[in-house]
Amino acid sequence: MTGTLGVQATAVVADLARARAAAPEVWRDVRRYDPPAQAALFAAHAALAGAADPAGMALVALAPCRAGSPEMFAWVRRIEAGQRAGEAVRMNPLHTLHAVDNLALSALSIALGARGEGVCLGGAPGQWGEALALLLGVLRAGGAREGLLFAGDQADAEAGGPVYGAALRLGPGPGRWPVGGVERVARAAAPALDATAGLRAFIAWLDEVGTCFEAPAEAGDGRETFRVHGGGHGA
Amino acid sequence: MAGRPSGCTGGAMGREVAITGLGAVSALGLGVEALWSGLLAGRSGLRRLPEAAAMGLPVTSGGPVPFSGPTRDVALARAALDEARAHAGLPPGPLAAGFFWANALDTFQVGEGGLVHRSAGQCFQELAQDYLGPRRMFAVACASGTRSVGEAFRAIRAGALDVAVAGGSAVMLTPFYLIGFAALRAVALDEDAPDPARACRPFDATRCGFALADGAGALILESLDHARARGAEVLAVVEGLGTSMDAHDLNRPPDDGAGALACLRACLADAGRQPAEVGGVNAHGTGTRVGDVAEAAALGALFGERGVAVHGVKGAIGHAMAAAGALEAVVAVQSCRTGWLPPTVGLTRLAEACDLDAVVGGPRPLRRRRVLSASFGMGGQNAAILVAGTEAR
Repeated sequence: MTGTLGVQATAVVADLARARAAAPEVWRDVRRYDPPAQAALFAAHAALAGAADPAGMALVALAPCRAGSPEMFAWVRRIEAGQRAGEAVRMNPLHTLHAVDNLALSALSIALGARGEGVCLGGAPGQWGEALALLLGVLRAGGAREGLLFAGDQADAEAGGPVYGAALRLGPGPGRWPVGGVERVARAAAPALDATAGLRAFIAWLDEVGTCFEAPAEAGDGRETFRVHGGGHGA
Repeated sequence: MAGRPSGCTGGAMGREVAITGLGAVSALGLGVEALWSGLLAGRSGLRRLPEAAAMGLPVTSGGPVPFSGPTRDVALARAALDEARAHAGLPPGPLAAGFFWANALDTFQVGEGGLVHRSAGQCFQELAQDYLGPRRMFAVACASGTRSVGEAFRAIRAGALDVAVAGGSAVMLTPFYLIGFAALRAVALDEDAPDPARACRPFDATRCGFALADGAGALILESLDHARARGAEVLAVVEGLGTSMDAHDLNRPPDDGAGALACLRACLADAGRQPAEVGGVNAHGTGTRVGDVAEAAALGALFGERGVAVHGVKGAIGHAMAAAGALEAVVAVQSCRTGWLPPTVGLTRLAEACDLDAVVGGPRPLRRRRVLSASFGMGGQNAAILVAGTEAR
């Protein structure tokens, strides 16, 4: 498409218990997943509210920087203990899925019946900016009319640290605010290895209804960070 | 509307994209030559894993590579990347190129000093620092490697960049994944596959799952004009990318292979090619009971009674997850260069439900030098690329 693309809806999840209480029907679907996937899916469903054609949407997910759950890490330790004791361990297959990076994307595509454009970028620092650029490219190339970018992450997946989820729905028209493009900006500061740094930068952008947002250097990948332009910028 | 498969933008649009360098680390050895000669000879690199056997795991076979220790993730990827760059005549060090890579999953092991959690993202970050262009990490399970190559193709075709380094690497041979994928009933258990060299039997009547493997595959892609301008040898060209999602189940495709078929069709549409122009298929061919049937159904629906020559490599090198599609892209390029499809190691008696013209016993000539290389990821994300030899065009 050649017209303006804009942010149609956003959602941020910072409290899984509250999200669960607010959307019990989503909880029934996501409760077997790991917390980062749960947070990503709660945010995705919230941002999809009011969308005309969720099944036809381009889906771009971001894998967590640190995958897993307390249950999954418990298996890792039981396997190690079994190794020392010479005992084979049989684990719950559900918890294998907690290590799988595309889990949230797969779950959402199934929930929506979405069979078209879908991709997940990995949990490396700075990938949120690449994901946004990729989604803009898909929409501009006519791959879909609307698109959803969503992610969940957790600083300490073994001990159960704070969990964040975020989602952004892009579509034709200026919506809440137009998005022109994503520019990579040379910022050579070392990236924060806090798993949620990139996601928090993404959330900060969602909170900022402006024409230009430059993420802090620590939200980049150590070489560059991202500047998101408002409408009218063709980057 | 349930979304249309991606790749329908028309192959005639945009720039032509060449492949000018290859690198591989696989269970058949270090380097592309070890992989290719092993495949042509019908050798299996799968073997018994002594550590897994000592632990009494239900799965003790796999596809190891000549790197060890929990930090082998970066080392084996660098080996493939260095080979591909040298092959393409690109110097070591920082490179003005995009980096489209798939690193597979985090690894979890417990060593002497406690838990060793190797984040796939941090591995990617270490590798990506050498590249000045966009750095994208793809994470669509078993389709990641194919997707990363395909997305590099897309970006170059669209004129967003001139050169990209693409592929994938994976470290899967850890107790957690051996046990975890056994729990998912995806891998060949020892009780069903006592001979480790034949643990994975793609499309075979006795297939019982895949064999996990470590590995890496790397490719250098550049615009044809860029390659010619710098005098690089053009090994093959990429003509199309197709993707789709099954939207069916987290752990199995639909029996009729509908998602796979949509992906393959989208790839040919993207390339502006007809099924009759394809000389061979490098199949996903994991050797799982359900996956192989779905893939055979998709290929049957696409190619019809006329059929197409189909081969797979996972019986020889195992399933290296995010690296699998990249290694298969390397093999597809080799097929287009040399005019041969390697045999499908592990396949001796075709399953009734897999009605394919499978390449078995020895290599088969590739009459039309155009190969469709497909990957169908766990969770239902699918990707396929079309690779052609220079004389096919």
